[in-house]
Amino acid sequence: MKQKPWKQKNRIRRSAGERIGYTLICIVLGLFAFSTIYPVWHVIMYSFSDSKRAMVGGLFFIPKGFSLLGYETVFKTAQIWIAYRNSLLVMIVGTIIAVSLSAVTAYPLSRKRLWGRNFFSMVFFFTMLFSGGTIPLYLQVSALGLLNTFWSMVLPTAMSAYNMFILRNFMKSIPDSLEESARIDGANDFVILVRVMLPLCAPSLAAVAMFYGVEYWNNYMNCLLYTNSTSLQVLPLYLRSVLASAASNALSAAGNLSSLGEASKVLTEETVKMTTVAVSVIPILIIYPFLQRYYTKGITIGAVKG
Amino acid sequence: MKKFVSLLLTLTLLLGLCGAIATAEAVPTITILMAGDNTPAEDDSVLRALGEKFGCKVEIQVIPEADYAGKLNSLIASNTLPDLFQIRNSVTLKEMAEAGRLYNMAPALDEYAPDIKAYYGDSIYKSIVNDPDTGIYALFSEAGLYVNNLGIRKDWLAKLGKEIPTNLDELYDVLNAFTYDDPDGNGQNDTYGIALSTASSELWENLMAAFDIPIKTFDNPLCQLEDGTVTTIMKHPRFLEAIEYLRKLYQARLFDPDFTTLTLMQCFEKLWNSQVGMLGFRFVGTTNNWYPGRYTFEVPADPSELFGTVYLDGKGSIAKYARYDLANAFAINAASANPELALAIGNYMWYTEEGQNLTYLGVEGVHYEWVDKEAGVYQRLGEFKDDVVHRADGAFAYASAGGYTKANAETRMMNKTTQDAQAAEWEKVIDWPFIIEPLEADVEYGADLSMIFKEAFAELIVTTGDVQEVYNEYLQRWLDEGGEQYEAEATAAYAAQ
Amino acid sequence: MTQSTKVINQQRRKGARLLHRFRADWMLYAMLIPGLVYVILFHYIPMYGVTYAFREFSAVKGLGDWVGLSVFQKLFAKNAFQRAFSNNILISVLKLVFGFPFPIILSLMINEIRSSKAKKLVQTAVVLPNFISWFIITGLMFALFNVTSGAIPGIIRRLNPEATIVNITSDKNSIRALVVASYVWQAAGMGTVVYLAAITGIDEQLYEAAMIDGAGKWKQMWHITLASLRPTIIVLFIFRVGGVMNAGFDQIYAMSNPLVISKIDIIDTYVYRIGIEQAKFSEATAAGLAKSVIGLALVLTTNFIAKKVDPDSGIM
Repeated sequence: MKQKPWKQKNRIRRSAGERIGYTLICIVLGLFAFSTIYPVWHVIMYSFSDSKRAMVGGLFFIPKGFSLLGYETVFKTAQIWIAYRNSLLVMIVGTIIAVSLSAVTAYPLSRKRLWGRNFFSMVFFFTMLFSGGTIPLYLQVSALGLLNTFWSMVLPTAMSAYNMFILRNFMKSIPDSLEESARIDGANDFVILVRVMLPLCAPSLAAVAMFYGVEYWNNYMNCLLYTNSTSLQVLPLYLRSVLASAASNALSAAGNLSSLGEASKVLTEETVKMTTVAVSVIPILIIYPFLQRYYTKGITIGAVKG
Repeated sequence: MKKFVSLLLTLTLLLGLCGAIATAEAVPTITILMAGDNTPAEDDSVLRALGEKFGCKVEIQVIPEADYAGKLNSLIASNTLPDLFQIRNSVTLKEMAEAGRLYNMAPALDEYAPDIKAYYGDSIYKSIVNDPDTGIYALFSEAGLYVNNLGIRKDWLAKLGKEIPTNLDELYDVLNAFTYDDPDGNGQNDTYGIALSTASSELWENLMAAFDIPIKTFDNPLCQLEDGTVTTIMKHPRFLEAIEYLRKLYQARLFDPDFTTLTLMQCFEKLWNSQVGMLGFRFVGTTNNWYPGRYTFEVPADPSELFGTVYLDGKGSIAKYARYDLANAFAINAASANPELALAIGNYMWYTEEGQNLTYLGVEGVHYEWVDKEAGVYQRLGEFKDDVVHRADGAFAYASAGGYTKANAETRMMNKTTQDAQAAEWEKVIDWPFIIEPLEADVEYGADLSMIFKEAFAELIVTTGDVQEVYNEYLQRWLDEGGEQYEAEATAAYAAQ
Repeated sequence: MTQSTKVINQQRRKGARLLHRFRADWMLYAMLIPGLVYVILFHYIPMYGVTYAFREFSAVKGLGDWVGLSVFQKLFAKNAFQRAFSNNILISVLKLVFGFPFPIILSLMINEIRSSKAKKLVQTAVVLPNFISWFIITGLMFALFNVTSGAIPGIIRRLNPEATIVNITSDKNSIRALVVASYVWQAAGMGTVVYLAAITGIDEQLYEAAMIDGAGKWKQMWHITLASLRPTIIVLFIFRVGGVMNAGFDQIYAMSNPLVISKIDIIDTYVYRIGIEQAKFSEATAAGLAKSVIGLALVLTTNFIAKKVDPDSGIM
């Protein structure tokens, strides 16, 4: 009985100024979301369009004509599957390593009792500001014997201080009482990290995993610099070459090889470009909602405690 | 989850191991690094054919143009260079030669690379690192032997009752008609006279040449004045006259006013879409590679019926000195275990007709067959009719590193219209001061001076202020920010040649 | 007890306490080892590369003579570099001022959406621009504002056929605003990811308690959501300030054209240009180092202020 009055009160309040505010928020967000969805939509619709009709330009709410020629071109060779496999492996293995490394580092740095905490934080933060450049890093990767191995695409970017600090900050905000009660039950620091901290950090772990995942998925510099073999090629690098090859087709340097006798089978490099973007974005669009679930679902600390 | 992770880790480890085992082999391996746009499969037909011919394993890594310098620098710094590689920067080339990191080809040339020797003759010593006394360390590329053609739509001219323009006034008249008199007859005002964009100097070559100004590039283009001074084309006596003409076209909207944001590809698209009547570009594109597939309108079977070439006051575009494109060379690693073999393979791939046929068209009987070998007519076979499949199996992808030689397959196989137009253009090209030695001022100020020129050129065309004033301001900036030193060095270097 | 033995005892006790602490927390220190090994191997060992700014270097010859500050002097004396430097600061500050608060506001707004489906949709939508390159985005912008065929000039022309239409992507007066606005639009999504993750970490009980106390939406947002976000905001702000000199190479590079470059050329694009002509490692390193030192100074200042205001916040 006691609860009812405030509920009613709340409803009344909402119906006043808040309703206008809410409508306003919805309109603003709706427009903003439209502006952010459209470019990706444009890319995907363009990739399904007929090259000749797409050349006219304009807006692409639906494909102009319909053609899968871009996709046929991209998926024609066996190399794309090798590249896909490598990219997936790099992303999965890389993200697992990176998230674990970041979490294990973030936890001690989030404990106030750790002596030398500021010094260690500084050690990690420094790497965000200063870097030795490409060549010294290359020499180091080479000295570690990683050149032309799978690990050369994973290890050099295995932790970003930025993501680590985001995790640390999140762990900082978790009340000490939880840790203490676990300690009384006889848990050591490692057990506390795995059993108490990580479940509580699920939203930020998901966010950080997404950052790492996207970074690994899009990274081609590691592959380009540290590997020499097409069996280790990753997707972005392969797509770059498909694109460059299509572009050079239009310039004279590529020669008159094109078997473009059939006028209906025209593929411009713009379509190839849009297709390559779509091919690399679509997997992210599929994975994203799964991760998103973790940081939209509210976690009540009380619930975990109980 | 744990099982899954450990499975993944084992998998990846295995992957690494496989790679390690594959490299341990008995026959010699020749590794080649080149810049290019295609990624053929690791073990493709062309590489196998090369390997069989030379009794070795050939591995070629193709790096995208934009990333090539970074990759090469890393390999140089870590001393892990392949046997044969391209160097695309004259400073690095010079340093490499001086540091003794390049193999001297001179003693081996007779035996292993007779075609290279025959092809270059004494001009091989034009390279900054080659000298009869010290040796031959680099072979320079010839890419870009093509000259520009100013193409014009003959069907539009006929429809409007105009003739091919021969001077700048007639040109203005034709461009005006192309823009406003509905040359494509669709009832809409959707055409422009000519496609121009600051994305490429090639589009402007013929227009500027009509004023005797050689605009070889937007990166600090040079000309020679009457007193022998080699300097920026901004100092050319007719520079402002050319600018005034371009301003007249711009103000009358005879070319797309968004010429600073249009990409080169968008300019081509305007031609393919029948939205412009003129384009200054190599006919290798206009009448050969793009023909007829790229055009979105009905085109006649013979490209010469659709496109004509324009010469303004009898002048064509500008000459190419690609034979001495010294910033783009290929060299052999001094530390290579088999430098002679690498040289022989390079010689075969890029300097013999047979090797060019292999790298350009693929394996005869597998990828293609000749219809008429004399005339350069061939047809591709089966699944290799498709460009992507063809290139993935190694054809075409390795063809152009050494540059275009007379054995070059591409030039042999162009259609007649294009070959004729190229030959005719060569007769009418204007000259420009080509400087062989890399200039110190270029290393120091080149990038800044290039930017000043680009800004000046675009600003002068669109400015609503006083043209003379804007011009004076930019020219002063050019002179102040290293231009004076550049001018002195360039003049001296050119005179010494 | 003499003064000196007192000191010694104190020191001994301090040492003993440290030892005791270390013994109690050894596991925490052990956890730091993998991270430390990683940064030492892949960041600190290669960091000798920053000395390229003070000595001659080429990929071929390796390290050469020390040249002191001459690389900096030469670089800073160039007009084009000065122009890039001042553009860089202006664009950086504008991006910070407009770009930093926007994701916070956006997150708060998204958090208010009641329908969970709509909420998810908007959340996914806002991160999308991060997945396509600036070249695609600018390509779309150029198409949108193209004087001849663009959608926006088309609308203007329909409303007022006499209007003089300017392409804002190639206009000196509007280009900076366009750079900042498109950056704010593009970067907002990734910012919301962190804030929304932090918002979901807020104990629901707090809201319930506030509602019992009769706090309205506005008050809840101010006193609970924003207050709980404060440490995250501060840390992200410090990071942002540290990277403030990174004014966005990809974006500027894609949006540059000869008519507007004088207004938006930044240090990174300038260095890229001089680097591409000839392999100029020293200049590139010097410019990068100058940016890092400025960043470090700003971070230390911001961190100091943050600590003054709230001893619990900050990154160190």
